[in-house]
Amino acid sequence: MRLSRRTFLQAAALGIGATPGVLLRAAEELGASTTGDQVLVVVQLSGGNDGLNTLVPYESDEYQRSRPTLALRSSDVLRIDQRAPIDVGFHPEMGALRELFDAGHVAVVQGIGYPNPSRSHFRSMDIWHTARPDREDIEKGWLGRALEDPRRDLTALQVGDDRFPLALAGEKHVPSLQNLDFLDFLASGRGKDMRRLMAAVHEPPRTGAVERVRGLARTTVDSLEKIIAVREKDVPVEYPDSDLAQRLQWAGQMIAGGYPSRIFYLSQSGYDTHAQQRDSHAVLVRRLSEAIGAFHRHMEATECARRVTVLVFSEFGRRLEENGSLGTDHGCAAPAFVISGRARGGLHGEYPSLTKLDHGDLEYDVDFRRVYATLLERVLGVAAEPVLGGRFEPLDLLA
Amino acid sequence: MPATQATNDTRPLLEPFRPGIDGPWNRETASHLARRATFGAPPALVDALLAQGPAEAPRRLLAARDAGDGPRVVAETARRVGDLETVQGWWGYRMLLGEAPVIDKLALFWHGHFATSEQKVDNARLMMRQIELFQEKGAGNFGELLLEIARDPAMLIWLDSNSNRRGTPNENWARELMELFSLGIGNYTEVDIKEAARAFTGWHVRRGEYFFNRRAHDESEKRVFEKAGVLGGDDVVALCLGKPACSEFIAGKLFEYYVRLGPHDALRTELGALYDECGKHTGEFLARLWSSRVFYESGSRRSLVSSPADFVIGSLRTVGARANAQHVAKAMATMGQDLLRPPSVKGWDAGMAWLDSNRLLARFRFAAAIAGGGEVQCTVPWDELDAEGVGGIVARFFPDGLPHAVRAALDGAVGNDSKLGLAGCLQLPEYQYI
Repeated sequence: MRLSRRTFLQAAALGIGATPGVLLRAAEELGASTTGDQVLVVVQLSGGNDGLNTLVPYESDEYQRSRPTLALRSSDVLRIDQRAPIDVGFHPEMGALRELFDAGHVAVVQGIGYPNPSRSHFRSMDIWHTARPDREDIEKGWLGRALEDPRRDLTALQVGDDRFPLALAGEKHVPSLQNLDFLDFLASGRGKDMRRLMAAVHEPPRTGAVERVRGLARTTVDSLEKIIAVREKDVPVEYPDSDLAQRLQWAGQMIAGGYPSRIFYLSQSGYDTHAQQRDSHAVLVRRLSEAIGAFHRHMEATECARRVTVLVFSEFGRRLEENGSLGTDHGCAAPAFVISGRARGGLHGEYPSLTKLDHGDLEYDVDFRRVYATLLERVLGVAAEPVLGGRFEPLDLLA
Repeated sequence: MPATQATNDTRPLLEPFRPGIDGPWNRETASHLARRATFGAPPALVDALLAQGPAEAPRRLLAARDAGDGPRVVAETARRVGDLETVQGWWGYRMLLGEAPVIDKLALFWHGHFATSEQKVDNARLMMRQIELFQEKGAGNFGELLLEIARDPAMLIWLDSNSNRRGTPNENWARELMELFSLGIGNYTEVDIKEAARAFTGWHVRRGEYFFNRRAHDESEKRVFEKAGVLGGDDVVALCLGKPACSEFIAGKLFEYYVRLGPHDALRTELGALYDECGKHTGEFLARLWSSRVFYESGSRRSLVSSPADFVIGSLRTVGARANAQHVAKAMATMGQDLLRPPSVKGWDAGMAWLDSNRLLARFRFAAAIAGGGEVQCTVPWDELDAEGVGGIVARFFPDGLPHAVRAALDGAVGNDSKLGLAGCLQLPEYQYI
């Protein structure tokens, strides 16, 4: 059963201070209906993912020479058998994503970026969030603006405890699902006493200011019960153990449970690998790959795979040359990934040149706003030009 | 008991509370003092305050300046390691287990007032130094504190002081000095800010230390608040301190932190006068404030929404628990108070802003954790609490008891399980107020 817009807005209106961190409320009767509506799941890799060690140009001399300790060996890399000017493969730890790629569900957009790239985390992430590289005063995000489209009744949900992303900022209030460990605990057997306790202490009416707090708490606890009901349903796949997997599992259960949000926004942090990159990056991409793999299988098992599209991006890539601390510094162009049951799988765009560099960094080939235009129009059904402030030709990423 | 005077005459509000005449002096009032002046109300502290009485107790609290040996050792480690989590853990440790919680609660006030964020400063050692300044001088003369914070390296970095040079002034510090740190909106003009910025040119930071960059300093005539001359930064600070608005502003903020929100204008004026009477000595002012009638009147009781620090540290202190200080700092961050990282130079919003669905959930989560959820490493003296029973636990947090229906609901869900009893107390709407 769909959550009606009025109920949802009522829920949003109960937020005190209209802060974006308001837990979803009034998550009514999440049935198992498929609404048929397309869903966008954005996975933000925070810190600047090293694209060169994710989609690896293993045969390139420049690559091997520039990274004496970090270059991945061509024998280790998970090769992509595709006619391409530069031979590429996935990081050895990305087996799960490679499987999805072989099944045709992963569209890799090579060399994504924008003109006059910024190597500042804050500035570049703001640019990805606002889709306005030319302006520094934009307070609304690309998705925030998409939510405002009057012809579509779009809603979004942030999943996880990170700071609320500028990408979602706009006139419409977007709730966020946080304290996931606590929600998981409550959904487990051990949490039953605590749930009963929370309900009991908020039952008797109070007077004065305390009554206002009781009201807020009571609504929170009630919504909690509905959300936990989603979590208690059996999940047809086994998710690995990581923060990202936990967030994707929640998103997956909400989607499969019929929760009507069209946009889910999640992050995985830790990608700012200035020092000792080898092991930390390996762990990150393994977790990313396994979490996405489990999520896609979850969607397939619940017949949602063709209506769910995942975008994986980072605010920039990293430099070709490794630095003196066995790590890499901020760079520019890098690959982004679009994963869906309706993806036109394969390599899109061109791998950036490793000889013609921009101050030692890879030059972009595809403007990221083209990917946004694709997702806005083909997934959310929203006109891209008003959102992006200009016309960007969509890419052929989705069937 | 005579009713407090109507708002026309606010003088009696600041006069000393007379136990037995203006109201009772009992465990509830002593706990109120403990919760406001420190974090939480551990029984031993309440016993001591009760015995000392409302006039003496605040002075004794303010006299305890030494946090003890434990925090000193932790401080050395924090200085050596120098990363954010370790420094947050150091302060969390002091708040929780230090012997001068009054000083740390006041330091937290100044941290919210002179709000500086590690996120931009990017140097946890300098942040630690700033907090230590608040711990050392926070209960002293405000003027002295203001002069010191103007030279604090973290503050200089935070407000771009190195960009403030003769010919290309940067107004950031001058604006915040007037608007947020000493006077409040409406008590200065844009021209004052511009001129003041010129007076502070050259107040730079180099290698983590303040230094006066003479070559960058504008030595020409300036005019701030109608005072003309070759003004330097110290002159501007003195001019700010000299305005009556300054005492009213600072005293008003202290009142809102320790007593209740929204003092009306007449009361603000009286508070400002009292602060001046105390020579802008914050400790002296607080001793007077915490022994005054307004502090104990009914409108001031359970009138402040607990900050995450009050909620987390206060709960642990009240039951005598020890905990991993870094877990404690993390828990506070989930509730919206990330130590050393205020959301902006305006500090944290208090009152109902502390409570939205997610922040409440974070509080419930902490309550479940210290009752055995495992997320926060802590050692609660369960034997002691078991012996007191759920009734005893309730009495620690609510000496005056709870409404009958609430107590019945709690008892019904908890039985005689101390763990659930503690969690239940912390989740009560009543407990979100101190």
